Amino acid sequence: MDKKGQLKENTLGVIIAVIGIVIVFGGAGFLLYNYFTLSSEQRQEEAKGLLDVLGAKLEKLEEGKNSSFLVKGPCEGNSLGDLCYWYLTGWSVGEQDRPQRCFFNSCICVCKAENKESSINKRELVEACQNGETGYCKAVSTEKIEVSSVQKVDGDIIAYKEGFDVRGPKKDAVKPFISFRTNLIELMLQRNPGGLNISRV
Amino acid sequence: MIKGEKKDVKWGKRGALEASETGEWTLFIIAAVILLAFVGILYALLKGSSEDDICKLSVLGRATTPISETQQAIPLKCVAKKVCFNDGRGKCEESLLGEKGVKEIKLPKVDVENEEALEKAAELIEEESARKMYECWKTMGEGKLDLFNGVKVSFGIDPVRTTCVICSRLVIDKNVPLEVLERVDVNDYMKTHPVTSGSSITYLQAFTGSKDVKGYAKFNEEVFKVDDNGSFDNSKLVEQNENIAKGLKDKRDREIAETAKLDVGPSSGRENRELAFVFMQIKPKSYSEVLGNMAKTGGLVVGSTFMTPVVKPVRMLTTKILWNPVGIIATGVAGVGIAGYGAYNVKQGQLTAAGYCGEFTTKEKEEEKRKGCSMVQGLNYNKEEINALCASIQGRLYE
Repeated sequence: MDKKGQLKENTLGVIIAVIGIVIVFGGAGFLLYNYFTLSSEQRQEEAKGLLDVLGAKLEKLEEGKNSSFLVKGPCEGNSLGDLCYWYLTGWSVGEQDRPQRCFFNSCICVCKAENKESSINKRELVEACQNGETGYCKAVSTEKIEVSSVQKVDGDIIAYKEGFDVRGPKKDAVKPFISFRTNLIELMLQRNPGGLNISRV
Repeated sequence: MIKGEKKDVKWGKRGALEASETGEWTLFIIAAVILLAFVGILYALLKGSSEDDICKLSVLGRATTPISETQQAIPLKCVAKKVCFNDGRGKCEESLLGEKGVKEIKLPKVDVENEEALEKAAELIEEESARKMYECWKTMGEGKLDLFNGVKVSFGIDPVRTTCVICSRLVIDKNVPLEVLERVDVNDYMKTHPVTSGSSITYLQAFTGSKDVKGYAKFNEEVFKVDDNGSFDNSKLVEQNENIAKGLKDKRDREIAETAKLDVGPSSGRENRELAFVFMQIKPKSYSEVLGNMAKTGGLVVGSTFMTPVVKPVRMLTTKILWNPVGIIATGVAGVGIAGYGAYNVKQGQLTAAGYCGEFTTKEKEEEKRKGCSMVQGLNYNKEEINALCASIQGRLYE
């Protein structure tokens, strides 16, 4: 009788304690979750905002005309050594090896990859852009779209052949993507009879 | 027991104990509910507020983070505002085609022979420009808040660099005569006009009000002027690119960054009809702050190896190193090396700060220039000018 009495008398305290623990730990968990996802949500919104503006400008661009505008990529970090791993790229509707989300239309995409500008290739960008968390794509109405940037190399290019280095002639490397920087880059948009071109000025 | 006396000490004790426990828990829960309600209200405010309020809240949220090195995890939810000045004949399509949230300000249609009309139109541009510049300054904390701290700078891993937020873009439609733009003098307007109609403080006084705050405002004289070929001094941008290249470890990355300077060409013969108001801040750490952070972290790491029972092998290894003469010397040399690298980065950061802030400081002492500053600048909205000021840009350009 005594023990039963004890349980009854402690029940309220136990209930209040449980409610308190749930509120405190649940609230802390909620805050931590928001804290850590705030930054990635911001990058997501930036990437989508950029694609929306780019898409709108491309749609309004008349044939034979060009237009340029400044963009800032959804880059992270503001330290000297921080590189930006975000890229702008695109695929034409007939192109092989493109993300599934670009299957029915030509598209432009803003994606985050694992590799730096110097070592990334288009195949990696396909994977990055296919991933819903690191890639955002927007359909465009033309059949052909080309995204490019020129890497000017001020010096000799080293080519690797069969185990030894070969110094080749100077040449500019045209890449099928545009890498963002932590400050501004300028995009040039051109609409030709053949399709749309986006390049970095 | 005495007749009439309440039943017993034993029952009374138990009752008192439970009451106090329940009371403490209740108070605890009330406090937690109030805290969560506060967070919930803040969250709701962020969701339902205007862009300005959201931006201000995010600035405050970042500046008041208890651990300043984690500031960068809190994004600045600030979107650049867009204003189009037109006289009804265009909507700034050259610059703002396809962009949302553009505020239009109607200028009177002017005859270029009519000086009064030209001055009136120019004054409307000056008024809005001064207002936008002041709003930028207020929203970003008036230079009183440190917004761009990072772990790498706090620990001397990288030198500090300039970080900016583009607050607004103002565009003058191509149909507005150039003669209007030539009469725009925002610096003079800010010296002579009050911040609000009833205020006695001018815009310029408002910017430079507090002597403790190293804050400055500058409206670039070259804004709205037509560029002559080669007139833009790109030396700062070249230097910035070279610094970035030096900071990069991979040879190929350095090649790419060094040749980025080839992207920097002077604008030629171009009309500048778009300006940006940019908030910039550079706040290098001092030697004592960086070395102190390193020492604290080093001590914490070493101390924790002695306190954590799980990593016994690590603790044993640490003990062997610290109690061995060779180990002590090696640890000392490594410590001096790391501290030296950190001190080098501090110096680089302070020199960079002096370069950007030096023209605004009246005191001749180098120390003042090297402490950094905050400023709002009106610049032509082009890549060359903005990147010369801003090594890094935060906030958003587009909604």
